[in-house]
Amino acid sequence: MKGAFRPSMSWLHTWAGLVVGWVLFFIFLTGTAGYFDAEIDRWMQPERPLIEQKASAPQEADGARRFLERQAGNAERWLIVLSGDRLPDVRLFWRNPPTAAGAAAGEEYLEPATGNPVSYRKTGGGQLLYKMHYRLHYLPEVAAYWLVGLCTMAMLVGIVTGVIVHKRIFRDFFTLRLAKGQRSWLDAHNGLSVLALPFHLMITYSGLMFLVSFYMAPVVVASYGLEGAGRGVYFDELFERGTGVARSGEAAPLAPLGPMVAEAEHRMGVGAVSFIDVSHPGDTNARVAVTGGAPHPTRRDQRLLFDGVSGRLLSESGPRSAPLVVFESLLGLHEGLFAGPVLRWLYFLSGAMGTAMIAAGLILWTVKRRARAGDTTGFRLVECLNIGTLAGLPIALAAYFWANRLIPVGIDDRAAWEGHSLFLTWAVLLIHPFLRPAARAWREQLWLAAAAFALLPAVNALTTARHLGITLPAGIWDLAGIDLAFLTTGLAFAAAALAVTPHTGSARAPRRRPAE
Amino acid sequence: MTALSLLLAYGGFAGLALAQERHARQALQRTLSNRLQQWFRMSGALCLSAALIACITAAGTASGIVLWCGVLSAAAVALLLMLCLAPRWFFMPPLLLIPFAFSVT
Repeated sequence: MKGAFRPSMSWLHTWAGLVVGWVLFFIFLTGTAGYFDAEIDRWMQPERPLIEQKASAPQEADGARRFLERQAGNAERWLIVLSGDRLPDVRLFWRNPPTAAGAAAGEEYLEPATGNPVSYRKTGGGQLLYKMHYRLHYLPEVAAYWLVGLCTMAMLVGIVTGVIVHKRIFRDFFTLRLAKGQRSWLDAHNGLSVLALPFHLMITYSGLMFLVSFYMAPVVVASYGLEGAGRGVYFDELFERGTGVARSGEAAPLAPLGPMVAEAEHRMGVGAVSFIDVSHPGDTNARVAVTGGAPHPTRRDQRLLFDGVSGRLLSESGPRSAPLVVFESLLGLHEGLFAGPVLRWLYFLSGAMGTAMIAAGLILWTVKRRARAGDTTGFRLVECLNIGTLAGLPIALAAYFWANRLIPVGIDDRAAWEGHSLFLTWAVLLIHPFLRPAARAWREQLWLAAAAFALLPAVNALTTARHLGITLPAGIWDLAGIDLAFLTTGLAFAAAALAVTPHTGSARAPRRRPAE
Repeated sequence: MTALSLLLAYGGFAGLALAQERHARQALQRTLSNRLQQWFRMSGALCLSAALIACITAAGTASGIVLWCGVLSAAAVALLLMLCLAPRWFFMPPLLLIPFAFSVT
């Protein structure tokens, strides 16, 4: 048994990785882009002012309340998300009572300074990319969550078996041998895995944790029953978010929100209030919960509960239980919302390394077997899926950004068509490798990827006034950074394309000898 | 402080790498004596620990540990690429960081 342990782990690593590799690549790629969701949102709405106007938190709350009283006076709950460093708008969500006619819920984004609804182009933005990485866009919610869960579990298996199979983690820590075929791909796969191993483990395990009450639903059902309402109670108790009072039915005016927010800022720090939850507005039992705190990996937000009529502070959230702190820390680490610019880039780098690790692993599978099984149907299928995903999906991602600039502003379902552009492009690029010899398909798609990304800043310059010529001199780095990242990605794909383009016969032979 | 931690992490990994024969030959065209290897390994580990302290000073304990993991990955990748593409110039990236190393953030 002992002798067979490593080979059997190796087998598991290979096949667990291969079966879910393409979905994992999708999850890692879109999730990594999602670390810059707010920045991408902003890039995808070039109508936004170069310098966003700010307002104080009490002013924003009062502006939001005025809008909500006009538009959602009968709602049973308002949620107001204040603007922040990476959130330029005040976001409003409301839920109407189940008995009311019309829509069950609504949402609106306001300009912080004026309190007026924003009127920028409709876009999926970075939020769509971030959401895609666990919702898989077109799939029904339940199917998507199970598929993502299975793939994540396979990823975890891949990491653990990978560590077992890798015989010389420390000796090969800095080893990358180029131009040696299979050896090079193995080195690359190992390096990308080992050098960001803490991130890979954290992101995979915490990814499973997000939906733990979904994957392990019976644990919740055992105590809270099978009804959907029981689940609601469970979450309210877990996160202490219910207010515990029902509507009285008697009308009473809501107290001004400004002083409550000011009181919260006094305790949490100016600018620390993140959202306001108003239940039963306009009722004698109205409650206002104000949540906020300095960003922290353990998501240790404070929550103050006010009486909505008198404006009196009723209670303050107490210390959290240890299991809840662990749970929320895992989610907090995964999201990285506490990260400042440097750490955000490091998150992005680690995510990119994970994406590249998966790509290198998938390519390694084909490189290893080309000589032995290069003409079998299975091999051909893997190779085509590799080309159409590892090169095709990045191109599709670029297509998403092209669509944002080229689809006319104001047409119906504009934001949805941005998303469709991504998947239509990917579909075409998945078919393309089946019609071409593999080496050619690689070359064509890599060059296409290089062009698609490198030309994005040019498309941006032709269609908007938020291009590098303006953003660089103005020092608007979150916008310029996106364009520069497109350029860099384009150059990287061009380098990859050059690497797979055959050299002329005379140049190749002498180049390889001295290295041997 | 973050730049300083990157500098320390890169230096620490460089120490660990040079203590290996393969990388010493790549970067210095020679191998180090056993004693020197041990010394490089020790000071490398020390630098990596110092990088943790710099990260915690910069960002607090909780965020600092996360930052350290990120800094280690970034430094290790940078060194890996230098050893692979231009091993004799492996000491260049830290020189670029030195101007920022003593800023407070």
